[in-house]
Amino acid sequence: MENTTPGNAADLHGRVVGTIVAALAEATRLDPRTIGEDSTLFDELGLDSTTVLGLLMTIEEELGIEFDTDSLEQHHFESVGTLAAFVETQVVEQVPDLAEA
Amino acid sequence: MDFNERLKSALTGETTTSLVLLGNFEVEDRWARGEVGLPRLAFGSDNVIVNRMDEFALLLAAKGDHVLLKADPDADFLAYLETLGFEMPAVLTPSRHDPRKLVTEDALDDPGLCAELGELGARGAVLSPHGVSELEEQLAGAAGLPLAAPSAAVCKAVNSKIYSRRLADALGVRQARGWTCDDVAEMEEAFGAARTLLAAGRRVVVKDAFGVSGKGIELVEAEPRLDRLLRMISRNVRRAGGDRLGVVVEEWVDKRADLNYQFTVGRGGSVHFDFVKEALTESGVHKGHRIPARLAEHQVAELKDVSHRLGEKLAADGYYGVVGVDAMVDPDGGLYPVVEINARNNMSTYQAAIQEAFLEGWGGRTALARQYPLRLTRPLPFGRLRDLLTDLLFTHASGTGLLVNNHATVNAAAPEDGAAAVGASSTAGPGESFAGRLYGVVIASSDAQLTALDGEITRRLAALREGTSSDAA
Repeated sequence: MENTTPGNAADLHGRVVGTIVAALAEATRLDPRTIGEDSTLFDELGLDSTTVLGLLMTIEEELGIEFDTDSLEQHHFESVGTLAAFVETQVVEQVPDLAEA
Repeated sequence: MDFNERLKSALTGETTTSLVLLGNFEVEDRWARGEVGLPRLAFGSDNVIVNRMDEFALLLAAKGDHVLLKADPDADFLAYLETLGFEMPAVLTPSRHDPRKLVTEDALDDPGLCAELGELGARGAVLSPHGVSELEEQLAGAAGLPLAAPSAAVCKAVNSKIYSRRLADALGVRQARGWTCDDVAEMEEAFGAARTLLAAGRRVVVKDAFGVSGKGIELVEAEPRLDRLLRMISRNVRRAGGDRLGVVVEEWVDKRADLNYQFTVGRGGSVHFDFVKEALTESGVHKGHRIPARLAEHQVAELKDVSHRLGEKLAADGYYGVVGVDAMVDPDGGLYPVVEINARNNMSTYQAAIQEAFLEGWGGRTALARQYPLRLTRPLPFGRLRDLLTDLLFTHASGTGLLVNNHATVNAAAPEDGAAAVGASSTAGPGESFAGRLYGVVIASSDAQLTALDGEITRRLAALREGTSSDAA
């Protein structure tokens, strides 16, 4: 079991990042290949407060989670990577089967 | 009577009262506190830039007025405005300002400034904010400077999109099909009706009752997304306790153009129609407002009529001051005269002096009021901006070009010495690029010239981002 955890964590991370990148590409009409984990959501990708709610709902739909929007803070939205880290904690809490798959 | 005098007359009954103007933009954020609606997510460097929209108040003032700003304007910017014939008001600033705070909060934090405001109050000046929340009431009370506006409670009530929709219904004004929701039962009923619309291939929008204009609106095209939104709002309601909420659900209707018009309601209930502008979009993205709006006489007459009817009702409900209304033109030229009422100053309010000086009475001139997004690596003083734009900057002599009406938003998100850019990663060091906005009104003698000027200004400013200009760091 211990031997498989790092691999599972990497799988989950990859899936979450892939989901976020696809959702961002849809929301911003950018080429997903130009979006990386270091991409900043507001400054580089041009996300704004009018598109962020739609982005969150797409992530919810794709990963089967529900955000507590009051718990979302500015630092979660700095980059694709920071948002992915937050989303991963929500997946582990809410969809443990997906996290361990 | 110019707009400044008309405003004074509406607010105080006199055209000579000295105003202390306060540009507390996005006052909706304060009105929304404690209200339940769509999840509110305002991140990034937007807030620090919005807080510096306070500088727009410079052009709403006249000589003898005061403007309360977070920080002193760039001296070259003031000199530029003066060369255009605008008489600059006295500027008051707090001893220090926090970029993340509203100008009102900065003023409240400065007892010396409050005392100064109190002295102005004793000499007959009054406080005239962009919009009134409990913060501006606190400042008026703390400083002893009378507020020339209705109470925060009245202002908040008449700015709810629920109030707006019900008022238009009561007046029989044409609106898109829709439902107002004060509680969970009303929301479930409205969402049920929205499902029927979606099933018929229509689209719907869900609006927060206190969303800032253009924000707090979610377009829904499919039932699963509507259900998800319902669950999100319901969770917010449960967390808040009780079952109160504030959202509006409407059918999405086709439109040919968006309009914004303004009227002013006097303390005694008089109503004056000020102007109408046309929103311009490019590939579905809002670009700015065109002055004048391309409307037929009968369309303008309809908006004037609606203004008077809305103004009478607003006055009866205790409101006086500036009112901006968003409206739409349908594909056949019919009007939706009330999409949203903003009973506060609007962006257009701050362009009134520019319109009076350089557009009205200059037959054939046309203008585009807009903002140019910037990406900078170091602050851009007005002098360098002027050198960059050179012939593209509006002057008396040319009668065409960009008339900058806010310079503070250009550098609002710049890092302080040695600090990271506001809104950027906390690990970013000096040299981190930051976002800025350059607001202005492009004035031209024809539509073709307007398009050409706008394109050239955009290209010139893009050089800052690409580092091809000598101004790029």
